[in-house]
Amino acid sequence: MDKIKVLIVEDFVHTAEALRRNLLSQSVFEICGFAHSVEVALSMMRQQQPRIILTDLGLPDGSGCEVIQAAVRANWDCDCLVISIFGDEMRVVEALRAGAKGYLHKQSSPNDVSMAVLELVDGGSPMSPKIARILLSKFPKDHTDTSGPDTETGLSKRETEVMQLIAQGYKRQEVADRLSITLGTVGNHVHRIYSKLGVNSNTAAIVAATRKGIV
Amino acid sequence: MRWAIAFAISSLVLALSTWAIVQLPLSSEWLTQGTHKISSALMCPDRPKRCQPKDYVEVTLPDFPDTTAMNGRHHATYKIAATADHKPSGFPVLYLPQVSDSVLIWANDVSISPDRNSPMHLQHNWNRPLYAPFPGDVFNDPDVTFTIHLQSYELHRVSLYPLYIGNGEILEFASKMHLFYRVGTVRVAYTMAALGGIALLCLWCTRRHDQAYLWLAAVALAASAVAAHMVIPNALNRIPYWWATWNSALIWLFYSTLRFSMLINQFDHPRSVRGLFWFCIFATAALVIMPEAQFRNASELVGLLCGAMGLYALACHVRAWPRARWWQRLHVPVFGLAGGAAVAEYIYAHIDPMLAQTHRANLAFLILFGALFLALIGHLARTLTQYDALTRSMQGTIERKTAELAEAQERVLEAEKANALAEERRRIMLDLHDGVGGQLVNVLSYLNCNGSADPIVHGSLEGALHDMALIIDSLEVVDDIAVMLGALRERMEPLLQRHGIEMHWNVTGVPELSDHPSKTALNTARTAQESLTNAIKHSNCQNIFVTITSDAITIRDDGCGFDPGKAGRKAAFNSGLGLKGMRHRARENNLTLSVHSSQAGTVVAVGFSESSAKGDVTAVTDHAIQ
Repeated sequence: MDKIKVLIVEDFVHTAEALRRNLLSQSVFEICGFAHSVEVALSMMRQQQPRIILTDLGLPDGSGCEVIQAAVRANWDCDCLVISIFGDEMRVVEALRAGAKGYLHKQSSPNDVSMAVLELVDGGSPMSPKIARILLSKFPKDHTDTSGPDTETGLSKRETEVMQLIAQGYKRQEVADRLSITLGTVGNHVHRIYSKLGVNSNTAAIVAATRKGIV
Repeated sequence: MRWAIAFAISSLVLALSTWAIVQLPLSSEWLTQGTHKISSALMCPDRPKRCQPKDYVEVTLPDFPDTTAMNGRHHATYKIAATADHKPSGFPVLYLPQVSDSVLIWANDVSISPDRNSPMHLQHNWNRPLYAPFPGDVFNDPDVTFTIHLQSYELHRVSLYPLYIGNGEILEFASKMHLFYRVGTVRVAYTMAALGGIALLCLWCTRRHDQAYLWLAAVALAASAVAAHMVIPNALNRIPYWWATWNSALIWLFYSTLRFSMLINQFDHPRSVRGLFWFCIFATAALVIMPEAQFRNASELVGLLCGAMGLYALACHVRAWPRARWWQRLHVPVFGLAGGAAVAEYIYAHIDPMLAQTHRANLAFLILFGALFLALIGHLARTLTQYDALTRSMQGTIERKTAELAEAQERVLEAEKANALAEERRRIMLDLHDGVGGQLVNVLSYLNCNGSADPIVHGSLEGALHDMALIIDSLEVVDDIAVMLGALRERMEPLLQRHGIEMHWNVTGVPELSDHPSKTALNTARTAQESLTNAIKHSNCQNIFVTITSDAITIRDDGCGFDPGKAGRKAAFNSGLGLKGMRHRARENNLTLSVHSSQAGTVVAVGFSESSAKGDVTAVTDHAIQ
């Protein structure tokens, strides 16, 4: 099976190296290059045509959103994941709306990044309390249909409950216990909320296929 | 039905006022009826000293003779016998204040006005007086007979007004005075009317929304056209279509009067007005294309049309009587009197042309125009009142809007300040995130990659990173403590996993910190972070229970506990972030801090409300659970 080409866009060398090591712990990934600026990233993206781009948002010559938008416009399958330090959720949401498929914490845990990528399969991107709070404010209350079924633009009653619990600091399993639903259902709700924000399920499909290959 | 009643009442009012007008003893003595004597002394009542009996000769006016009509002109011959007690002093003249277009005079069969017998139509201004001097020896014979032959197209113009025989100098002075008061006044009034019409037209041009000015201008200008025939008679006959113009002006005079009256009284009968308008247009066109020979009959129809419009105007007022105001009701008697005067004049003209000169028509116009100008003054007064009310309203609105604008500006300024503050916070946050945060992560990554991570260095770096995250949280979310604690939990998750501790999270209410300073949320989160870090690193616990209510945050572990007094002193010496720091933050932010520790574990509670502070007298004190 072909390896998945990954481009890492990160201006801090050691952070980029740590990401590379974590990714290469899974043989399915292939690092096609490092970029330390937007300009270099765009150039390498055209040359290497990576399948996945891991990009920081604060780059010396611009924002990682420019890379994300270029990936959205690419004529090959190319998805972006944002590498973020916590505390920057507002910018992460902007990146998600620009077309990023999810986000990862740079130093969140010793777990390697590849596993974090694979976690996306279970329910799209992770959702922190702050992101949940931001998203609750992004969906207008008029469009938040808390009584009726799901709609294209608003949140369903269950999705709103999930978001409110996540915003209060509950983990996914706790949310599932409190709402008497399964963990997968919580993941589905989160995934749907991201979809309504403009994030589609391509990433999940790709990673799911990748995971099958690994397992 | 209402219209029928209104017209019936209007007709009744008109009949009554006509009867009343007819009863008025107007100046019929000026006419050539009866046989009473007129003396030239009447012409100078203010200067009797200048009119001595020897200056004039008394005559007796004859009755109106039978007239003959030849070539469309009326002819009348008067024979007047004068008996002079003595010869008039000075240069004797026969003074005729008002005569017809053509006049021939003989004194004892001697012609004294040979040049006035023109076979052509004379364009004589019949308002002007005529002085006919005659030889002084005429009065050598005490009985003198004057023969006066008059010709005119108009029947009433062949009437003979009081004449005077006497001293030419005296009579000239008297006639000039008379001319000044009568003809001169008429011309001044005419000029004023014409100028008034033009002024109203200009006024309407500047205030086009007020049609009252337009219609009153039309009234004044149409009246000027009608009156021109009286002011400069005979001279206008040469103008083509003059009679069509004159009759049309009369029609539009009545129509404009009607429209003005309806406008200022707010009568709304658009169909009738539209119908009358087109009828007037039709009548005007008919007059223009009509042969001159038909004008006499046409004038009768014009008179009827004008009368009908007057009756309609009166009926409108009568119909509106029940809901009209007092000044509007005044129009009914005024229109009634004016209409009565006009009808009386019209009736007289058909009974006896001589009676048509009783000036009742003048009375009608006087009443009508007086009423119109009074209505205009009322209209102006109402307009000014409305203007004042509007101005007051506008001033109130302006003051209100100004206050609203000031408030809006204040809000905008506050919003700008808030935006600037938010922008500055965001800039600091991004600087921290991308700069300090990036460097910290970079160093951590370096240590991890090289496998040489000193636990103390690693822990310090992670602590710095967590503290930076809290600062960023406080910059972005200053009042949502639940979200801050949720983010704190998320960041503490790797540490919990490393120590194999399970966290039990329970949110039953969200603390409301809007009344607290913005740093309260940050300090609360720092206190919670310190408690969690202590529990994780020092208590050897297996579980941490975090409960968030609207009043307090409670962090409980099942670890080995500690001595708060010793721990506090130790923490104070080491980093300042231990219990002493927690107490200091709690005191600074008006929070209550309660720490209970025993061998079964430690409970740290941070309270927000006043009641929690009052209920716990040992707030901000530490004691061990026995």
